[in-house]
Amino acid sequence: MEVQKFISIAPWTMIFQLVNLLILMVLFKKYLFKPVLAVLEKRRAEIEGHYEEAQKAETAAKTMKSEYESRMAGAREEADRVIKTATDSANAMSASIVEDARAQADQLKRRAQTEIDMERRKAFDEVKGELSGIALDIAAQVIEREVSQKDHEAFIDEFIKNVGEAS
Amino acid sequence: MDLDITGAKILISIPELGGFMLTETVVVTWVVMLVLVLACRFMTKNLEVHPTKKRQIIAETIVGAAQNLVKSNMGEKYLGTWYLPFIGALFALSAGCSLSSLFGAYAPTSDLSTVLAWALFVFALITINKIKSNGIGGYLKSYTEPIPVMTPFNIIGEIATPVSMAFRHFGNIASGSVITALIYGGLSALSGLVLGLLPGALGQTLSNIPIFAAGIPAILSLYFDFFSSFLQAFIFCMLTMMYVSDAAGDAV
Repeated sequence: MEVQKFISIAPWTMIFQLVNLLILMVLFKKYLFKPVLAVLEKRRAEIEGHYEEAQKAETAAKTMKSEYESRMAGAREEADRVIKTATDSANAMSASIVEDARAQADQLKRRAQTEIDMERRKAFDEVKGELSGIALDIAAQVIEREVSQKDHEAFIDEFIKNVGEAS
Repeated sequence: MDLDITGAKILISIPELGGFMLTETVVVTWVVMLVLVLACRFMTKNLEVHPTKKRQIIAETIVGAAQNLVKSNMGEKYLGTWYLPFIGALFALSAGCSLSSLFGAYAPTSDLSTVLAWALFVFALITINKIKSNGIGGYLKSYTEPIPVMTPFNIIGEIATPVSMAFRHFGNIASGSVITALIYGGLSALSGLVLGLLPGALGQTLSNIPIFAAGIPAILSLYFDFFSSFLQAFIFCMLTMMYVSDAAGDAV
């Protein structure tokens, strides 16, 4: 078999080798770089998507938190207001109840007083009537004499007055 | 003991067709290309966004390394161009061709035609980039700088680029195979000589077996075939990237 010299330049070999290199370049691009770069790009896009999603979730969470906080503040205010209103109305009610009770007590007291006064006067009148009869009898028996109607009455009045003062 | 140091075997020769010939160089290169492409197909089969297979991780590492190399030596804007697969193919083919000597094949890179063809292509890229960035007038004018007297030296310097690239690569790989062949031959001869001193039939039998040639050449081959293969491929790619980006005015 023929053999080339150790140092030789063969134009056909050069053409073949250059074409071989260029073919390998195309094949490398097609079978190595293109698919790997495509998958790397896909991965990058996916990671970016994850980041975006995370950011979105964070924003949503922050919005929710601030909303919650403002709502909490509103609720606290509302509660304060409700308590205040309740306290106020309770105070007013208790005051009115006390007032009512006092008024009622006053009324009761007054009525009792009136009743007492009436009873007293009635008793007084009864006693007065009885006393006048008794006194008349006693007087008639004691002095055994006729007493003029006028003296009689004056005497009784004096007596009753004394009794009234004594009672 | 005969030791022939020759070039590639000529497999087919058709002198009538402009001296056409198909040499061992080209055939071995085809085999190397086939292996490389099959490796690529295997590595990039069923790629997943969430990689689970080792081969995908290896493929991604290789692509990442190529991108890094191009980015750090040429600049980011070359990443999307054909330079990325070109540098990748250049490195893989150069290293693969040199390593083919490990399998006992003729290393296509120890054929000057191979590396000279590549170097001339790189030279064409350099020149195209120079003309693109300076215009044809600026390119021609650069030969007369700093003074017109320097023109011949500038021309020599320009031609020296592909020639030095080609001979550096060729010389390293070819000399490696020469040295390996020499050491094999030398150790076999020494083995025959020393063991031939043994008396009788024993000496005669043993002297025909090159015992000394076992072991030592393997260690030397580790440098000349393995390390040197990657080193020369790397140097060739580095020089290509530096020259091209320098010519385009994008020196990093």
